[in-house]
Amino acid sequence: MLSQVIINGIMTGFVYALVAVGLTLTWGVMDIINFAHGEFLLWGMYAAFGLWSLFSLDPILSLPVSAALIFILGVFTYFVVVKRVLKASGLTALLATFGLSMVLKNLAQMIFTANYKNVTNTIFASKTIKLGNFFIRQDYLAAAVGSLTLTLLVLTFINKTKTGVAIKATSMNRSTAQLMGINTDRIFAITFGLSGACVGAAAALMVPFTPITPGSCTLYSVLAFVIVALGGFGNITGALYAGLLVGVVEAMGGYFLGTSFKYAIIFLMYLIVMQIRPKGLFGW
Amino acid sequence: MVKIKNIFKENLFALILLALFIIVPLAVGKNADIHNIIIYILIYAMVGEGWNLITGFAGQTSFGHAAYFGIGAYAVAVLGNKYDVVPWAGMLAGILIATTLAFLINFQLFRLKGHYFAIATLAVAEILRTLFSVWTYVGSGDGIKILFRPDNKVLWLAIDVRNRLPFLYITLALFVLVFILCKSLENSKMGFYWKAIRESHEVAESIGINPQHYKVYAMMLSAAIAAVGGGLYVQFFKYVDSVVFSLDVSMIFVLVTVLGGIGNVYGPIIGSIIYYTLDLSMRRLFGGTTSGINLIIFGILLVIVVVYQPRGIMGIFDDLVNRRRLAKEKALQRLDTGTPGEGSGGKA
Repeated sequence: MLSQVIINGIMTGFVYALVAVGLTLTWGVMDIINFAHGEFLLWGMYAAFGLWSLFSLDPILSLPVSAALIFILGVFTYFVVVKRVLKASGLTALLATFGLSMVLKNLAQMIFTANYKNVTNTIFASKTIKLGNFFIRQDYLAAAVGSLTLTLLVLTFINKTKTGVAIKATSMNRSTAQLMGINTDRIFAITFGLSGACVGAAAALMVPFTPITPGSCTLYSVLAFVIVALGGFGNITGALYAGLLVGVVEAMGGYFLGTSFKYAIIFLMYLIVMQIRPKGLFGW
Repeated sequence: MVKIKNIFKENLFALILLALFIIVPLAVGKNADIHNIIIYILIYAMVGEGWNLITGFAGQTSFGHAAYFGIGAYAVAVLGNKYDVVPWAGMLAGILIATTLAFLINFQLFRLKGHYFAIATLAVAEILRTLFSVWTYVGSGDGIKILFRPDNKVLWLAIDVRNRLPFLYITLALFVLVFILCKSLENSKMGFYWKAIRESHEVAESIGINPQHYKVYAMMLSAAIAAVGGGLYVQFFKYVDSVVFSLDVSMIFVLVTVLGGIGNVYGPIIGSIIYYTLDLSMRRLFGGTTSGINLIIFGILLVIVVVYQPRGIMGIFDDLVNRRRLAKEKALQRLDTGTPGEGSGGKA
C-alpha cells in the first residue's frame, strides 16, 4: 500500500515539477516572482476545458494549443507588465504580477463562474494498468510521462540551443549578456513565454483528473513557490527533483496524517530543509 | 513655542489626516457603510505599518503576516468565547503569543535570505492555517464566534452594531499610537540599523550591527502590531476562521503598504484609504451584479500605479513636492545671479 502511495506521489510530482520549471525559469532569469503563475495554470486548464467542450478535443491532443495560448499570455504579460518593472525593486515587480493575478483570476471567475468544471471521458480516463501488485492510473501515468518529457525538453532547449544558452547567459549576468550582443529584451519575452508554455502544457496534462475552479490557483502558485525555492531559484533540475520530493511527501503526508495535513507537511518540510540548506536543496 | 510650531509644521500632513479621521465619521452621521470602511482602513493600515517595519525598513519580505494577524484574532475570540476574558486582555495575550512565536520562528528563519525567507514566512502562515482548520478546540473548520456583551461597554470595546463610532475611535486611537511608534522608530538608532541591514547585510555586519538580532526585533514588533490589528478585526467581525491565515489576507497588508509607499510611514494609511475608497465606490458602481469586476479594475489600477511609480502614491506625492521645491530653488537662484544667460556671454 505504501509503495502504491509513493508511486502516486511520484506521478503527481512530475506534474508539479513541470509547473515549477515554468516558474523557476522567470525567477532565475529575471529575479521576479510571478504571482500570476497559478493563474497561468488556471487559464491553461480553462483553455483545455474550452477546447474539450467546444470541439470535443482530448486535452492530450490539444496540449500544443493550450501550451501555445499560455505562451502568448506569457509574452503578452512580459511586454505589458513585467518589462516596465524590471528596473524596480523585486517587491514592486511582484506587486505588478499580483495585480495581474487579480485580473486573471476574477476574469476567469466572471467568465466560467466559481463552479467546478470537469473534463471527462478523456482517452486515458479511469483506466488502470496492473504492474505486479500496483495499480497505475493511465491518466496519471500519461501526465507524469508527458511532464517528464517536457521538462527534459526544456532542459535540452536551455542547454543546447543558441536561444537557450542566451537565456542562461542572461540569467547569470544581464549586462554582460548585453555586451555579448544578446537582445535581453527578446530573451526575457521568450523566457516568459516558455514559462507560460510549461504551465499551459502542465494544465492540459492535469485537466483529466483535476476539477477546475478559480479558487484553487493560489494554492498552485504557493506550491510552485515552495518547489522552486526548494530546488534553488533558476535551477531546472533542482525544480524537477524538488517537484518529485514534494509530490511524494504530499502523498505520504496525506496517507499517514489525513488529507487535510498534506500541504502543511510540505510547508513544514520546506522550513526544515531550509534550515540545513538555506539556499535550497540544489542551490548554491 | 518655536518647538511646538516646528512639530506642528513637520507633522502637518499627519495632523490633517488625523483631523479628517476624526471629523469624517461624525460628518457622515449614521452612515454605517462609511464607518465600516473607515474601520477597515484603520485596521489594515495598522497591520500595514507593522509589515512596513520588517519589509519596508529592515528589508525582509514577509508574505506571512496573516500568521500574527490571525493569532491576534484567535486569541481574543478563544479567550472571550471560552473564558469570558475581556478583549483588552485577549489582545494583550495575542500580542504576547504573536511576539513569542515571531521570536521562536524567526530566530531560526532569519538564516534564510531574500526570496527564500519570503517563501518561509508564507509557509509558516499556511501551516498555522491547516492547524487551526483541524484543531477542534478553536472550532476547527467552523471557526469561532465572539459574543456581544452589552452590559459592559467600556471593557468590551463598546461594540454596538447600531452605532460603530466608539469602536471606530478606539481603533483610531490605537492606530495613532502605532503610527507614532513607527515614526519614532524610523528615526531611532534601531531604525537606522534596519535601513543599514536593508541596504546591505554585509556592510551592516562590518560596522558592528548584528543583523540577526535587529531583524528579530523588527519582526517581533511587527508581529505585535499585527496581533493588535487581528484583535480589532475579530472584535469588529465577531467571527474568525482559519481563512484568516491565508495568503490572500497577507497580501492585503502588502498591497496597501506598497500601493501607498513602502518604507514610508504614511504609506500604509494612504494605500489603505485608496484601496477601500476604491473598493467602496466600485461596489456602489457595479453593485452585486458581477462580484469580480471591482477586483479586476483594482488589479489593473494596481499594475498601472506600480508601473508608473514604484514608490507608490507617496512617491508620486514626494515627486510633486520636490518638483515644486526645485522650481522654487531655481527661481531663487535666478534672483541671486540675475537673469540667466545675460552675463555669461552665451555664444559658443
